[in-house]
Amino acid sequence: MTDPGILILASLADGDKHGYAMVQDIDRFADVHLGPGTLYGALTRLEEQGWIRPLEAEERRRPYRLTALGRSVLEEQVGGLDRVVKTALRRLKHA
Amino acid sequence: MLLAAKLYPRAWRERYSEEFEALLEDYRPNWREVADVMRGAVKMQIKMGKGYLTIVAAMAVAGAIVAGVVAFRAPSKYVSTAVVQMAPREVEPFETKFLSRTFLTTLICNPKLGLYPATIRPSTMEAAVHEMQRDLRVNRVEAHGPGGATAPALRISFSYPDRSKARDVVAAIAAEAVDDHGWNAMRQFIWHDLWPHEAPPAPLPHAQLLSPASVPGKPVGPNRLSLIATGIGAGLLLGALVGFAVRRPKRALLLAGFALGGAAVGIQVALVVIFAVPDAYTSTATVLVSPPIFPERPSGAAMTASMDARFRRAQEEALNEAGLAAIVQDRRLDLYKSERAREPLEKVIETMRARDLVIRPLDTEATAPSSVRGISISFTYPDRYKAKEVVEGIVTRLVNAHFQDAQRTMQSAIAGDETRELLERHLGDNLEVIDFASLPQGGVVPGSWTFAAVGMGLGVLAGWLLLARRNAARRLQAA
Repeated sequence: MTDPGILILASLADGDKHGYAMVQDIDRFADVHLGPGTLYGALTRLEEQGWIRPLEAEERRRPYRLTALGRSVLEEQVGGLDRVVKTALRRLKHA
Repeated sequence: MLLAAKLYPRAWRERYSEEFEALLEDYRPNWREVADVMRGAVKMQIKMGKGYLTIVAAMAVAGAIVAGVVAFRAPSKYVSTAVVQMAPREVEPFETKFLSRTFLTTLICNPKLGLYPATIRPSTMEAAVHEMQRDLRVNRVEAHGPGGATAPALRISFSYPDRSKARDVVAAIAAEAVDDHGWNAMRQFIWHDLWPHEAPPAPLPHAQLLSPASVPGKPVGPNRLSLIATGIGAGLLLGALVGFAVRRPKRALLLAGFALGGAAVGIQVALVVIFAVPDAYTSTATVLVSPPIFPERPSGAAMTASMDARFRRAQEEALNEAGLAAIVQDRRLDLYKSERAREPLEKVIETMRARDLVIRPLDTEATAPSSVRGISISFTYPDRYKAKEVVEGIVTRLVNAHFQDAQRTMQSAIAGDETRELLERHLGDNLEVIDFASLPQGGVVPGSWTFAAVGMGLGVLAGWLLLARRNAARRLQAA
């Protein structure tokens, strides 16, 4: 689970954040460090796909917000992952 | 990091540069983050940059940054230098000796010097010797001696990250050239004992230290400009390839296919060649002989003459037909098996001498008295271990023959027990194996990687020609 796109969507799911706040949040909940090039590569892609949108910049730092489309994509992705995780856990218990 | 951020496409920077630069200020700068920004910039250039030149320029800047980081992180070294004046005929033997594996191994293993701690392990001694051969410079120069006359000399320079070790190494090498190991004093003592009524000869001329090991000044870094230029060149080349792949993906894919195909054919050709043509390895050893510690007769001139004659006799004995026949027929080596099945042994040895065995004198003008002589012995054979063993065998025979000859002469010439005992202890000291038989690494036939690279190049050329021909045909058809 290291796809920067999904990690960013998950980070924005609980509220708007600017770049470095996302990096710190992802570092905390996923233990994954995103470099600046990787972060902005993913942000550019997510914005192009309409899954996130930029807000007004605050002191040069621009926060991003999850769009409705982004939220449904995240739900779909996480739902798929959830099924995989539950199946794996169940099978591990029986093994 | 801010410099690396300039590598992003202009269109992207117009939209994101302000917030991106604000983000970079929050990061703790390190090389991992710089590399991440550069990777992101290249990806974005490929994705967004339509301009061929932009990609090429971006890759060149990236190459320059990477090369700059490498150049400025490489350790600087201190250089110490000494100049030693010596007899003309001693210059080449000493030059060879100072760069020889045996001599450098002695220096590397000297615990007082403690050189190359990161490299030195029994299994990597050869690597440490190669590294030292790169750091050590032994150049011939014309030096002005104390009398003002010019004379040949060796300039010894050594560069090393530790200032005092650089100086200690140069001082040790210069001392080796200058030190006569007490031979002159011993010669005078024995002379008086054996021939008290004969005037002793003048001391042997010896090397003089014109300029002692210098205290290194400022450290010298690697050639940073050349490294950065190389980085820019590599970046330009890579940028040209990436730009071509972005602009003409189909054509690039086709050429890549041809290149891979060419490489595959090259490897197959290499396999055929390797099986069809046996590879050959050359092992080499170097032997030096200096004037004997003591003349056999009370005549100074006889000393060098006897040295030359003895060395020649030893060489003849080590390389005579019987000696070589013993090596060729040695069960362990079993050399030239198929040749021996076809031809008489004399013919095989003749071929061995003419084709595979090379004896080269270090200095062909053996005229000056009281100086050092030397030869290198090389043998080429398809098995590198056997090549090494043959050279070792010949060197052993040479050393034994030289020693036994000296022993015979001394026993017949010197009657006094004490003097004989003293001389016996130093018998053979004047013959030195400065480079033991080397274990050859690379063979004469090029490796499969060379064939693969040539095949790849030919594949690209073939693909390019095919595309050019196809385009020409299409143009003709359209016309």
